[in-house]
Amino acid sequence: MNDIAIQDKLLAKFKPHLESTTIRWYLVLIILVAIFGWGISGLVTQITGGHIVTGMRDNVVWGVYIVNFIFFMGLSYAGALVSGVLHLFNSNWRKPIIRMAELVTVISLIIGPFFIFFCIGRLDRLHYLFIHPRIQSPISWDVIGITTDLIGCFIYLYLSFIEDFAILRDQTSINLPKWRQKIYKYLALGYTGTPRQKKIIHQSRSLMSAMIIAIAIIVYSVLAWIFGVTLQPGWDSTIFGPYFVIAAIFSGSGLMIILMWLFRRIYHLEEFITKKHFVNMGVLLMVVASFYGYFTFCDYLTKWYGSVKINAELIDKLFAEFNWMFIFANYIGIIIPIVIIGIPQFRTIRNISIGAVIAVVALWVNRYIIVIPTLETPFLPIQDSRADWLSYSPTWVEWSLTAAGIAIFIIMFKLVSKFIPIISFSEMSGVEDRELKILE
Amino acid sequence: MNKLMIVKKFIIPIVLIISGFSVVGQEAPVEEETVEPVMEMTYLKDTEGNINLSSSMVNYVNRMPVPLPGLEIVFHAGEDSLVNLGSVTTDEDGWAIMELDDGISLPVGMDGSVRYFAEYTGSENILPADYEVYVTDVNLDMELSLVDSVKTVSLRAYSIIDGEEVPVPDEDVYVYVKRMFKDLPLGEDFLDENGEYITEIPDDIPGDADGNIEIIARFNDHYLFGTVEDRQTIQWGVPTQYDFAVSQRTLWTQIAPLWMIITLSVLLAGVWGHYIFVIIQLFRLRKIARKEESTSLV
Repeated sequence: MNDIAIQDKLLAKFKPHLESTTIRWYLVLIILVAIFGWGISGLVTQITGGHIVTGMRDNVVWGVYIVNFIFFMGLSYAGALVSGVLHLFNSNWRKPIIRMAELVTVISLIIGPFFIFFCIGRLDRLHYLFIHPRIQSPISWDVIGITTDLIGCFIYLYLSFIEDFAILRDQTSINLPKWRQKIYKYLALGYTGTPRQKKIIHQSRSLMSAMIIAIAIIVYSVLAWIFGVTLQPGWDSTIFGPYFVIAAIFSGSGLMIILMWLFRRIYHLEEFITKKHFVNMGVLLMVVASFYGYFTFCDYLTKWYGSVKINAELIDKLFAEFNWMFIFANYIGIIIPIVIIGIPQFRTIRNISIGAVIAVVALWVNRYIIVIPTLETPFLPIQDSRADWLSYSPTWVEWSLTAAGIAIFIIMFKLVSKFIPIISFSEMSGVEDRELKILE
Repeated sequence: MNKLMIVKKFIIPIVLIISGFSVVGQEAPVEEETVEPVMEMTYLKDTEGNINLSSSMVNYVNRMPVPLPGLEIVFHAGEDSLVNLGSVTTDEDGWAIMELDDGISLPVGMDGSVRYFAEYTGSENILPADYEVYVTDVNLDMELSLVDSVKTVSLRAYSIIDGEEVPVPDEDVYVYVKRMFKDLPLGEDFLDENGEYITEIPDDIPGDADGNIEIIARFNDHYLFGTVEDRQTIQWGVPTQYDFAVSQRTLWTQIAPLWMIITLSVLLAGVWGHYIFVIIQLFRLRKIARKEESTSLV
């Protein structure tokens, strides 16, 4: 079957979703908007009442917000790494899922930094970061890195959209409103698929995929160094850079599997996203889980063996107050995905998806036990501080904004997938017949 | 699924969820609590003989003092017939500082002391508060001299009674040298029968660039005299040589290490160079399309 035939098949598949919107789609959107609204009410409470409405105090100055920031940024970098690596290696199986990875990259990167804004006490001084930057500060590196990464990811995403915009512009089988056709026409940049144009797109995409892999590694390492260059117990670690990068790929692979499962069910993409995709992504998850487990063990072993008093206090706290979180994040969250994917009998789509959910939640908990227990273990007591300020527990305001972050992530995914198919037409055109069930 | 079913199954629960959230989001109106302020006042007579009355207003919340700014504190002197000294509004830290005018006539009690009285009259949600201190006027003179090359501080304390200087014996007096954060104590003792005290200043106290140090003689929150002090600056310190040379490229100075600037610049130039190249390619893409469009029309 030639490229045109595959495109027609895909167009027919996505036609109902692109043309019309179901009541269920709207209902889900309303629920998500309601959750987002709850977050906005939390934000208003925080702005009017001050940060006292959160669980953050003098000792624990970073809470769930910073955990969410690291988590979303991790997802973004993982999306960039997965999509970049899959593109560069030009493996055919990647094609139905590469767009999801690209979207994860950009959407997470848009949402993540907002959690930093929620954390800052004096938002009116935010522009000081730009007008009085200090090159020596990891915070400045992070601001420069995130901005650069965001622009790079937008360019990369747009490059991958151009051919599909052209296909949607030229198709006649789907009834799309005029304004959408105009947008597709404008964004397609007059692409008609001539060899010269194809070469330009291919070159640019290869270049940008290599760039975003490098940027993702650098920027997430910078984020890790914000912790690593401090002398705080638990953070002052030389392996934090690679550890964070591995953890990001771990959570990103997990999220990719969850999204594959969701979109497969919602859009009935069983023919395109097959068990092979789940197994391949699962194998990636398993390999990364092994590395992540190894790094975790190295980090805690060296801290424990060194017997520095403050590190010993921190580890005691992790195994006492944060006992269950520690076990979930560093044992269950690593072992279960490895077991599910490692034993062929367990390797079903459902099991792999469950393993991915466990991995993603465990990673979030891992971020929590990296940030909070350290801040609860200060070197010196703060003057005029009270004992109850030393223990952190998030308030409804923080949970509402966390829920809003997840809601807006799904909303953005929904809206983008309404505008452009979640499987790239142009990518799929090159898939060999044997790669797709639909063509069997 | 008919429309009624949709309304029953989806719309109503969603509306309930949203209204539930909005109820959760709203906090019940809290009745404003009455504040019971705690007032304190201190008396300070400085080197020039000026008298300052400093009154603080705080509210204790969970045993922690919270300043009460914007409250009007009225200052008086005297027992029965009060002399109004003026009023001052508390600042952000809850302090109201009243400087008494020179030559103001203060009512002196039978024991020679003056009663100073600060008062806050209260408002709708803040209770009234007041504070009083009894202070006997005293003078503290300090003389700095070299006695056999020894840097010597001589103090003399006296009261003026019926126009005559009467020594103040047996009271605790302190000598300090001013430092950046807290005054450094150099001597403390009881005045002798002549109201005098002599102490020495060490030779190795760091001063400013010229070797100046500020020496302070003080009755420190004294039970009779309040705080009375005499400050004098003298060139008795060791001059401190500040290094104002061009600041080095370090993590903690204004200018960053060179390697850091080079690394960041190379990285950014490399990345942004590629971005610009790709953006130019996108423009080329559009240009090619236009060219081919016009060729096909011809």
